[in-house]
Amino acid sequence: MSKRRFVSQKEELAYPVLEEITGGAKNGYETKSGDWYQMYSTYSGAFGYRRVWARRISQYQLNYRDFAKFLQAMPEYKEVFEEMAKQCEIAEAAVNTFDSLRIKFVEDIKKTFVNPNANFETEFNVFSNEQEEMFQDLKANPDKIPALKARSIEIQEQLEGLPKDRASSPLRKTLKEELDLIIEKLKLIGEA
Amino acid sequence: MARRRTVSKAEHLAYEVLKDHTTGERFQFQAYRASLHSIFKTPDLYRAGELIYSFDLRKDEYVNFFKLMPKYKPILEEMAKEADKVRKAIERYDELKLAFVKEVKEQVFENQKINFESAYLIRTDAQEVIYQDLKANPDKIPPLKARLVELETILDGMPQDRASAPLRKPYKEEIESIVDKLKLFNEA
Repeated sequence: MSKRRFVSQKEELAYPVLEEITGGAKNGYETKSGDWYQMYSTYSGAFGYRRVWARRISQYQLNYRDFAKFLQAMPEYKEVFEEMAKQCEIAEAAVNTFDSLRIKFVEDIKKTFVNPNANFETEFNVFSNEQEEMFQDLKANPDKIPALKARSIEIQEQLEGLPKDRASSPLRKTLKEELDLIIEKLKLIGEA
Repeated sequence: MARRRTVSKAEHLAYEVLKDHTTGERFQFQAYRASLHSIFKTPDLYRAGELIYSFDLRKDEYVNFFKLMPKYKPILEEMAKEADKVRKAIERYDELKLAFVKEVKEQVFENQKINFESAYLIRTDAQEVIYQDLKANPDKIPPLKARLVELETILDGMPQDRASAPLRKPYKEEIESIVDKLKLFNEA
């Protein structure tokens, strides 16, 4: 069976929330700023040729080239265009705020992930409370990891040197239990 | 040379403005509403998020998430509020745009069903006056056509030598003026 990655309970709960507001597990929960053109685009052809059906209007555009000439000839539409430009400004400001809040939220929550660069489409196991504690301890004290690895090698050597008879069975059992615990801890941080 | 259609200055200026806000001349200047679902799509069409709604935050996945991480609730509530502003502003923008395009087509365009990609001539101010007059009084067109036939008959009956050229000149000028008028309505 392939090795499954571990995630915290919080991370598991964050996935469905991120799925909706980012590119999802498939795209590493990346985000991207709102694109005005995309809202008014259609695609056609084998290469997905994009056709943009509308552009954003800015206040300054109304005094410039085609718009200026048009509004000079038909000033009755000036008010409509000014209102359209205002709505564009409101939408743009709101999209920008939405984007900055989202980017901050996604960055923040990803920092709490066991591995922010994991392939999020892979299967995972969720930490039990006990495992969570061990993980947090090892994350806070990474210097404990080499000691655990060394102890794991030491135990394996001890086990190999032990006679396989019944008399040494209790000692083997104790050592095996300790080895299992160390391996479990190391697995939590992907070191075993 | 193919006969070109004529349009008013206002219609010509409207083409330039509508180009950027509709499907353009090739597709009859149709205006569409925004697809808010696509706002975070990339050109290679993967969707990098949605504008969330306030009611989304009452769904199980959000409720469970907030139970364990309540500090993120205000951020997501603020995001829903901003998303609502985006939706409202874009809806309003689209409403105004659709109404504007409809009105311009009805009030400014002479024919909404032509091929807008075809070449055209812009009417001068003098031509515009003639055009508006004939448009308002279409009963003036048959007498113009009749006068044209009459003038052509007179010209045919006149000697074609150099000496009679000054006599033919006023008739020719009148014919040209009538033809110009009729051309504005594609009647010549």
